[in-house]
Amino acid sequence: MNTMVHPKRVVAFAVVSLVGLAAALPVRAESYPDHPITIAVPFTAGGTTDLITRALTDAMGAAMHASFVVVNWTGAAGAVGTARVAKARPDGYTVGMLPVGPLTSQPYIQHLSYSPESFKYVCLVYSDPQALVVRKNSPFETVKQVVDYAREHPGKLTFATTGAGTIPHLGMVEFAADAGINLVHVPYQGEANILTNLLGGFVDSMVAHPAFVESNPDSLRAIAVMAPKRMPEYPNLPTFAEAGYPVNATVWGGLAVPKDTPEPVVEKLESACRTATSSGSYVARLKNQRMPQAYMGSKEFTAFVLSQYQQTGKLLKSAGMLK
Amino acid sequence: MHQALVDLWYGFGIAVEPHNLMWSFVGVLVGNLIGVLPGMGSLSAISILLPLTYTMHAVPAFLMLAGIFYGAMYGGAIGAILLNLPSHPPHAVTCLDGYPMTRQGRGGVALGITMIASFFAASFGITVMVFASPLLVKAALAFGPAEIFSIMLLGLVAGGTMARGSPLKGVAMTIVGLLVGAVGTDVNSGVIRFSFGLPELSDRIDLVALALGLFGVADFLRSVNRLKFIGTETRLRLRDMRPSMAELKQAFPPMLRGTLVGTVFGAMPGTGPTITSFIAYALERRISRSPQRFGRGALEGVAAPEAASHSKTQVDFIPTMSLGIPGDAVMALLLGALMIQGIAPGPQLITEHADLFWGLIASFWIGNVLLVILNVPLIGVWLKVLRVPYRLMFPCAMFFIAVGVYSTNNSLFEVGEVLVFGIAGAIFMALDFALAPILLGYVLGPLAEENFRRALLLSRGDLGVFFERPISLAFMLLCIALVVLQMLFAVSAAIGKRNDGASP
Amino acid sequence: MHWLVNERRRDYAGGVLMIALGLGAALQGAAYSIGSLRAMGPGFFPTALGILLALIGLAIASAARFARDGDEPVEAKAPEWRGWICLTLAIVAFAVLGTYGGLVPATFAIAFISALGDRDNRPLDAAMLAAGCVVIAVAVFHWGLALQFPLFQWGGR
Repeated sequence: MNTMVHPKRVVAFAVVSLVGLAAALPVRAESYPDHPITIAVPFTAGGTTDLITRALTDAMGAAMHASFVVVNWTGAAGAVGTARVAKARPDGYTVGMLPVGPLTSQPYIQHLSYSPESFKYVCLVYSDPQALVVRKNSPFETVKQVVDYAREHPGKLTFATTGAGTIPHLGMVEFAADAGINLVHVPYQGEANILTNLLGGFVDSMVAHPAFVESNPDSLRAIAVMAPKRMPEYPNLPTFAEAGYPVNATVWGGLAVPKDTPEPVVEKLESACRTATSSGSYVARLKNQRMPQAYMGSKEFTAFVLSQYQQTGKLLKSAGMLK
Repeated sequence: MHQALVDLWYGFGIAVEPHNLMWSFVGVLVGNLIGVLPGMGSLSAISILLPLTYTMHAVPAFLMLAGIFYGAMYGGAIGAILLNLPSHPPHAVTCLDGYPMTRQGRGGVALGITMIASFFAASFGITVMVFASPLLVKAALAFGPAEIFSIMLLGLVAGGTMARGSPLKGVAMTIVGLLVGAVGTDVNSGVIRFSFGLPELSDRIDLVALALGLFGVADFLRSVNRLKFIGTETRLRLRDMRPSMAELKQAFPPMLRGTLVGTVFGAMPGTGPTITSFIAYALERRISRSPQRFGRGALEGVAAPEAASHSKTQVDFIPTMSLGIPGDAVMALLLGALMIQGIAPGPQLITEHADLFWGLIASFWIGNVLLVILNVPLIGVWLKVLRVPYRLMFPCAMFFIAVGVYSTNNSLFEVGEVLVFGIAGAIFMALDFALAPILLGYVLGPLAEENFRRALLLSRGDLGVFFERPISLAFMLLCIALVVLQMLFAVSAAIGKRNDGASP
Repeated sequence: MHWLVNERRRDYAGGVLMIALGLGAALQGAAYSIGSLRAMGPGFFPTALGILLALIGLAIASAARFARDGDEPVEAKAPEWRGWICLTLAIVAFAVLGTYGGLVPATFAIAFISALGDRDNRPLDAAMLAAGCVVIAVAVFHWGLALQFPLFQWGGR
């Protein structure tokens, strides 16, 4: 057995104890931040949310002369980590990178200790509209063709998503209701399994973000995107709204803190976030990783989350998924 | 064909560049050492070390991660064989015969065979990956929900009765495993099942926690105060550790079959290496002339599943790289690593980043050579672990299990899961139930259920879909044949028993 | 548990346990919607599996009377209560101290308490072993692998 005794250990203990003591002191907003800020991601390392968070914390660290530690608190589709952020000490040293699912869907589906009202919202940093995607050789070119076909053959057209109650699913529920058509939802575990079955001809379409199509240009084609207006990255991709169905299905996420966090601390974080998201290196880094970017300040983000929460509740109810 | 060879040659050129080779070696070494620690599988090794690569260049970063990946996989086999601790779930199957071999003092042979099997299978997998990947990807597209369900059903039927002891009890444990697999959010409806109000249970039960509870903690509960040493007390000479010629000959056909099973499953997304190794083991036991040896230290029971999981892992890179979709959680992490480097996975990756793609493939092979070179002298070191008295060994193992399970998801709740399954496993063992089928049911269950429901959703509730499609029909007929055979065996055994009783 | 040395009794107990597990799963499963073949609900599989498990349990229990007595090597040992209690407490202590104390106390507790489960370990042996594990925890997991687990923390997270 390999047992190394290191003299540095004692030093480390002392340092760690001091950091612990510092954390116990009362918050003083003027000196904030005087020690590292923990950013909690409720999903595993290496996923989209994690990658964006790490790029963001690098840029924010430079903007506010602070250091950030990214931790991954996973579980229950993000609800475990989100609940821990809600319960954290409201001193600005625990910040959550909270995505749409755990904020606006999970409180309806699971019995949780938090709701969207448990947080103060700092800034929204990404927003990724979903698109209806078909095989390259599919006969469907436009939303209108899809609607016409579905009207003639009710309950025949299938669409795959990564699970019941997800944003892609709810987007299609809204679309089907708007258009008065009957589509068959085929849920899958992960996009890997969808893609083989889509290419194999077992399902007719899937819902995915446009970058997914971009990485498989030889086999896939996007019909339209579920966003209020065309995406600047994909100017040729029409929206559902243009066809007369103003459906909005967007995967988004941003920074939030426990609701009792002092206002000056939130303002400091918000201004660092604004600086960071507009910095050239951050923008270039995310573009390079094909990650979606967006920005909303604290006020706008708060209103957005609450309106999304209402809307999601309605859709989940019509999908019969309330707990 | 010619182009593939040219590209591969180019890849070797990249992979043997000194600094690339160095990172590959670092990865293999670190992965190997982490993998040996009980509880630390390749998933936790990569997720822990991933942030370190954020600042590295793409090619060395990826070569190192790939090295960690198969280094940890091989290291995991060592813990499974010597200590009955499957930290990488596919090795749970290796435990079934590897650990009995260790108890008989043949742990070194088991390690040697594992090394040869994984090297052989990985080399084969790499060859397939280079020359036949477009074919395999095309073949994978022919497998729809009905086909996948039929294969899963075959795996359940063949695997449920594979453990030693009563087949009825094996089936019972498979169903228990299926029920454990049902815990969590149902993909089709979003309903959370069997969570008893705990949000942590709305994700599935953690596979690593389940495997280490059933194999590790349950075994400690049974052995504490009863076992002084794990191996036999006799001292091993270096010569005894190497597999003999006869043993190599005995292990070769299972190795080949295991490799083929792994290759076939390799291109199918959604089927992880755990399923593959279970099916390879079940197949080996089915066709063996002396199936009663399995579970008691059969060499074939180590060679086949190890070969299967290694070739599966290599071939798995096909969907990961060429479609940009990961086959399992580890692959998803590796894809994340690519994206950190600003490289978008997908078909264009092979042309746009030829240095990365071909360098990686070449480094797979080089990494496997490094593993062999590294582990031939290390086998002796690993075997020394067995000289540690049990009373000191198991408390350390408990600590490693707890930290290892925690590290996968940073969750202490999952450490609690280990305890629950440890106690349940010890009770089942006390009642003569074999535990491996639980793991099989857990792994196959959700896939079987999902695809069954999906197939019926697409066929509008028509059960005929499983018998109309030729691939599905073939697997269904195999299932039926297996069940009928099993019943005939049972009846004839019962008659034989009665005759024995009548004329003593 | 002493009477479990008999194979027939083990089969009875095992069969009854399976019946109980199966019925429990079926009852809980039936609480979710069962659905139809065309659109199967989340309760379909668990309910069907539970019923099947109960039937198999019944078969195991009723086949028990064919089992022969005592011609298999049996385990005639009393259950190891000390080991069971210590190992259980050790994992519980790790989870609790991991939440409220940090990696160092949790590591010490799990190794120390499990070591006490073996009668041959004196408390001093156990403490030394646990100290060794703490060193590994700090050197390998905390420094070497940068595991996301604070060494010390107070009052939970």
